Amino acid sequence: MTHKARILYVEDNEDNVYMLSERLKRKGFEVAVARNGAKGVAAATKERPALILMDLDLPVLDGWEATRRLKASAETRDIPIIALSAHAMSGDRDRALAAGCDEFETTPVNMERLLKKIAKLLET
Amino acid sequence: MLANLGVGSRLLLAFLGISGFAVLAAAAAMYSFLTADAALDEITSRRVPTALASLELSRQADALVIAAPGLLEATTLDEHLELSEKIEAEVDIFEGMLAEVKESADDPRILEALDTSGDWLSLTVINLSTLVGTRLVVAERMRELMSAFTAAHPDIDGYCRERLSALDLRLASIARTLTTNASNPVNPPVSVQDPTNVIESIRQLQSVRLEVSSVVASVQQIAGLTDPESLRATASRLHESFNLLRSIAETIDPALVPGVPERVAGFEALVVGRAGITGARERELAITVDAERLLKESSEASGRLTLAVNQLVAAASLGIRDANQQARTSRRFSSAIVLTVVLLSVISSVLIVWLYVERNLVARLTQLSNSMLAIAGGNLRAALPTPGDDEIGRMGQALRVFRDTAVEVEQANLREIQETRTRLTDAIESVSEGFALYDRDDRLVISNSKYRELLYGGRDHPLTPGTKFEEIVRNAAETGLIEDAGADLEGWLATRIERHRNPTGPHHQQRVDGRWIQVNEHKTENGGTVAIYTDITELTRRGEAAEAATREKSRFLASMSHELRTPLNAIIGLTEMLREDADLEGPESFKEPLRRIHRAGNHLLQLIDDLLDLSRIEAGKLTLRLEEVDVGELARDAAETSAPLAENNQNTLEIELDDQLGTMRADPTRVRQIILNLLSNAFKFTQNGTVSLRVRRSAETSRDWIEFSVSDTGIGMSNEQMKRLFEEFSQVEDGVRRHKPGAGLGLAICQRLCRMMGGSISVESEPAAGSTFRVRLPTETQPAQATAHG
Repeated sequence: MTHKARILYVEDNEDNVYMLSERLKRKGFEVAVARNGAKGVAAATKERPALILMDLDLPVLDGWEATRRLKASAETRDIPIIALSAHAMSGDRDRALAAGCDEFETTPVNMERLLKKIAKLLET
Repeated sequence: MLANLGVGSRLLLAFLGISGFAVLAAAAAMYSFLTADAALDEITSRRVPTALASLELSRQADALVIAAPGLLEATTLDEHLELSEKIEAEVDIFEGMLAEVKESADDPRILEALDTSGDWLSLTVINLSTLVGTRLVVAERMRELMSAFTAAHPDIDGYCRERLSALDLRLASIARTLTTNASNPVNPPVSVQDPTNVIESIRQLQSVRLEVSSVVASVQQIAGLTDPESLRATASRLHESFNLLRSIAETIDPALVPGVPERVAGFEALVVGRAGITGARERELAITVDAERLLKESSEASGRLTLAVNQLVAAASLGIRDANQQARTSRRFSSAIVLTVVLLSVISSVLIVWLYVERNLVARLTQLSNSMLAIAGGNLRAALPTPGDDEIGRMGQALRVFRDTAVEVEQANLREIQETRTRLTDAIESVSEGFALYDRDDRLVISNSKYRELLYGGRDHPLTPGTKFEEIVRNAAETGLIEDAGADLEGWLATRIERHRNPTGPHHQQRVDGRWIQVNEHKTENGGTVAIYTDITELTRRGEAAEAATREKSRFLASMSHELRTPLNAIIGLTEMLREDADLEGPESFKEPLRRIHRAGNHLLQLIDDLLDLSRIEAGKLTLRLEEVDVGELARDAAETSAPLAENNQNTLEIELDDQLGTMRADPTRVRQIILNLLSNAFKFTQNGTVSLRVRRSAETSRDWIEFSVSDTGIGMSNEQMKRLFEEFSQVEDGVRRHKPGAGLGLAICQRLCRMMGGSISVESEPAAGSTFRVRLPTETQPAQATAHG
């Protein structure tokens, strides 16, 4: 894997953070992690990742709000965001897209599909 | 006895009675005609001929009387003979008539008068005829005498003149002689007579001539004399003339004038005496007087006859009048009889009809018909006519039987109706809802006490059948119990009544005490309205609780799903990572355990997803995303996806697609989900077998359908198993299948999804022979169906 794109992964569950960042790194990505929405926004603003994986169910500032802020800011507006949610209810997906997310993926993650979406977003 | 007769016989008797009277009337009429006929006969055969004959007789008598003077006109015997024959013939006719009339004359006085005057008349006429004959003889004699006289007169006159001339000559000669003698006495006359004698003779002859002309004048007078007095005076004058003539004749010198007395005597014989002209004339006059007497007598006789005839005619007229009177009387009498009989007949007919037909038959029939009508009208207690032995009586008996049967039936019906009504009332009363039925005029027919209670909130308010819905609902609203009616009572009432008349579905009423009443009204077939009031207070509360519970459940499920997924994410992800490591680096012994962990994790994830799907479907939160889908592509894609599963139990997958599958408008995710689920199950329950996916398109009931069928050659199912196949977690309780994981919610979800898309799912199966699942979906899923309701 030759990807060196930096991905910001905003997630509070440590096991998931470990699992996904580990797997993404194996796929050649550079992974930064933020443990809540507010930190996510700050990290994104500061580090300018190529893509953000945003868990929606976050402490301090939830994923939707964080996304709205990122998309509202001129600096971070162009960073593609893939929302991740364990809520399989269709409402989550719609709300995420409405908040400004570019893609939506349910957890548990289908790795193959996620990688395709990441690749697609990074291309554009 | 009459009572034993049938109606027909009785009517026959009645008609016979009426006919009898009619026959009597006819007989009376006949009698009257006969009587009148006899009277008229009397008139025509006797009275009228008598009168006519009498009149004829009278006319004949008049004719005789008129003809009688004609006899007198006869101047010759021949004429007389002719006339008298004619008149005798007339007399014969008259006598014949008289005899005829006398035969028919009844009255002896008239008969006598007729007899006398008739005989007298004929006698007079005959006498007259005879007299005329005599007169003719006398007249002949008279003519003879007159012609003799006419001849005698010149004779005697001529003779006188001749003698006078001779005497004159003699005288002259004497004169001359005398003169000559005187002068010439030579010549003395031989016989010289005295001239005095001659002169005397001349004077005497002249006297004779004078007297003869006086006689001639008198005789010529006689023919014109009509009265005997004058005739006698003339005759006496003639007698004197002849006395004078005779005395002259006796004195006349026969020497000088011979033959004078003879001549006078002959002349006298012609004129005087019975045989002379005076006698004949005397007889003639006597005959004339007789004839006039006879004429007068005949006229009188005729008058008497006419009188008698008139009497006879009067008698005949009287007879005619009598006969007429008799005929009239008999006619009047007969008319009276006929009228009486007819009147009697009418009265008796009326009496028969009224007394018998009307009272006995018609009255009873009317009574019977009234009873029938009353019974037909439903009055089974109507009085029945008293029975008799005739047809009407039997009809009455039949009616009684019918009535009794009808009463029994009615009582049975009433009992049944009562029972039915009681059952119905009980049933209505026993339902927990308020029930009311209104007729087409919106009047209350029946209701239960629950209805009243719900309507009036338990207040003791009467609710009587027949009351208009408007009044009932107004009463209810005026209790102030209905929350919605509080602000605008009239407006609410108008809406409520409109809703009652045209019910659209159930609606709810909130009561001021916090209760909720569901009002469900609908029209019956005959235009009435059924109202069902349900107290849904509890239900509402429970519903609210249930809703809250559902919401809680959904929230819980979502949260649980999230909570479960989060660690599963790590588990599955890390397992995958480890498997990748093991594949690359080993050890080999890790591979199988890691594969199993991975599979179990995915299974768990599948269960959680299914659970979530099911709960979403049941909560109505699943939305179909409809788009145009290529059916063939979809099927191939699903088969491809499931292909790895085939390998697990060494199964073969066969795909069989129609050439013209085309596209369908559907939610591809859900269609794929269904096919995958079926394929997954088929692979799961089949070992070393074949799983077939067949897809075909068909047109049915004006729509196009796509049928997906998944067949396997696996273990199959019993009927018992098939029944509960589409229930949630059926597999969990299924001993046979328990060891086969993964089908717990799949079929339940498939069935619900199929229904959502307007299709269906069915199964055919035999134990140990395999199963076939068929999914039929319309090619056009309607947007309205796109919202799920469990």
